Amino acid sequence: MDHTRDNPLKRFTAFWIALLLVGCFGIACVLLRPLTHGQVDTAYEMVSDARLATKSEIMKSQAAALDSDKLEKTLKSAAQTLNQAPSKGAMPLPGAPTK
Amino acid sequence: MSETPSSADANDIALRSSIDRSLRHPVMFFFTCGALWLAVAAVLGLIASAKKHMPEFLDGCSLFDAGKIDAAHINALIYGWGFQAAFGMIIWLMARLSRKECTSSGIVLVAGHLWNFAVLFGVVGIMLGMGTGVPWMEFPTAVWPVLLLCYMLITIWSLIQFQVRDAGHVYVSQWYLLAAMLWFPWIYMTANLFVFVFDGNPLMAAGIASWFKGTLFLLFFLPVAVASAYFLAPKVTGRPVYSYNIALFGFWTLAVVGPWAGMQKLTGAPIPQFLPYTGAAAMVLILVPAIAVAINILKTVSGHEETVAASPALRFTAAGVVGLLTYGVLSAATHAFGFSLVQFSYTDYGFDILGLYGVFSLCAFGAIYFIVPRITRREWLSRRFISWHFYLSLYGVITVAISAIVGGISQGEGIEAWNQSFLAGAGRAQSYGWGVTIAWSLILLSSLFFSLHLLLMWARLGRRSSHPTLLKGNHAESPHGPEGEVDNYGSATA
Repeated sequence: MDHTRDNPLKRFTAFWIALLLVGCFGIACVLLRPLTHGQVDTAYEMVSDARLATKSEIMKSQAAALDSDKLEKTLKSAAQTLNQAPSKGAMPLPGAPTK
Repeated sequence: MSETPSSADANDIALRSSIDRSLRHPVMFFFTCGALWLAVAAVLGLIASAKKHMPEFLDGCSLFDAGKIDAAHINALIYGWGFQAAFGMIIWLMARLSRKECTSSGIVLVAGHLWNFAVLFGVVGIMLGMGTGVPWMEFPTAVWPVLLLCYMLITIWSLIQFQVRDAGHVYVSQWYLLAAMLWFPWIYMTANLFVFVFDGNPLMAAGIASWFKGTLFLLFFLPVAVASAYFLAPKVTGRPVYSYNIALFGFWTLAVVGPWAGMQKLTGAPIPQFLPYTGAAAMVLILVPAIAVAINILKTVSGHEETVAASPALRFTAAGVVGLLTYGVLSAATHAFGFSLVQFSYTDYGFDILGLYGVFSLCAFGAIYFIVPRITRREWLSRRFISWHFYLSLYGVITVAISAIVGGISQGEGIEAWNQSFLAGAGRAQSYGWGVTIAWSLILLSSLFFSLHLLLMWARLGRRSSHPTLLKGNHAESPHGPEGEVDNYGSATA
């Protein structure tokens, strides 16, 4: 045995070097983690802004197109004829008396 | 002080004998437990394969659900058999090549027991439904730190032996062993941390899991198998390695190409496009180190065909090297020309088994047939047992490879055919599934012969003879070198 190469001190040092070497892999992973750990966006979140913009545009155009007076009149007239028997040729309403 | 040649020889033999003695219990423990796990893996493989073409088989028991039994089978094969065979080979080969006795066999044995309990817990956990579902890392997440700790406790002494070896030549086998010992903790720790511990992007976790599956064979099992081949071929034939430069070339090409493999499985997935294509390129280029190793080993043993036929160690090793060449050629062909046909088919399983069994296990069997007589001081009991083990293993792995790879390509064609239903593709693979089931029956039978033989050797019931057990009768001279190495220096307990 070559005592300059193999002695308890060399073995002790080799033990810790080996442990450190393997530990380095774990340390490298921890150091790399911030580079790989970006903000994770779901597909829904990624397209949600565009979807909300489209939705608000539709709501606005719908609100602009709505004639409140005409709607109110239509609703009132519909309410007045609700419990009356349908005239000849009109669509029967569910629950309305037939005679 | 100069020594006479004869006393130097005697000292050398005494040193080898003391190294073998120091490693007898841990090495036999790993080989025997590994062989028993191989039998368990073969049983699980048989059931898993049968369920692919007979889904109603054992369907009354949830333990044997197809997803669980598949995972239990492959993990028992890798961590139960593969790693324990590799541990036995690493610690014995490194001690012999560094010419250092093992001074920590007790710690290695304790770590070996802990490893077996962890694998048992993992396999049972998978079958109880606690598996993670990540390929080749299916054990419950509590298991991987224990396995890593055991791995360190088992292999660190070999790293120390290499560091304090006597000055001189570093053998080719030592390069591969050293690389495998350091590559495994790198890939295992990285994969487990990024998949199970860090909460990164799940797509990249899938990519890293694929990378681990691809590199585990190329960066751990393959180097250990090649190290064994580079040790046994010159040792048994008595010739030096054919070309040192080819060995160097083969090693560095594996080191450069190997780490890129794996992500080809995610072709088409929303990950950076270069990653799957780099993985596929690596699987094509793996042919280069495969050719380098095969040329070197086969040229080293060429001219000694009778020795290859007679020596169990060399016959298994040569078969493993041919398996490596086949793996390289098939890998290059499928990844270069027909990847879309194999990506989602049975072919991947065929490659896994060709690598783990057709390359690594055959080389490991060769190493075991060489090492065990030296550490037990007994010769193998039965030439027929070895012969049956060889032929059943060989026919088994060839049948798995042909059935799964060819069947997988046919299945892939069925999946790709847009005018057929998906089930038509699955139906194409069904008949090949029968081939895989029959193949696992052959492998199970071979591993039963092997396990029984190994248990008898561990019980020191082997032949008390200095004549090696060869695969032919009436041999004129031993292919294992001069006779007497095994038994002429007294009992191992002396």
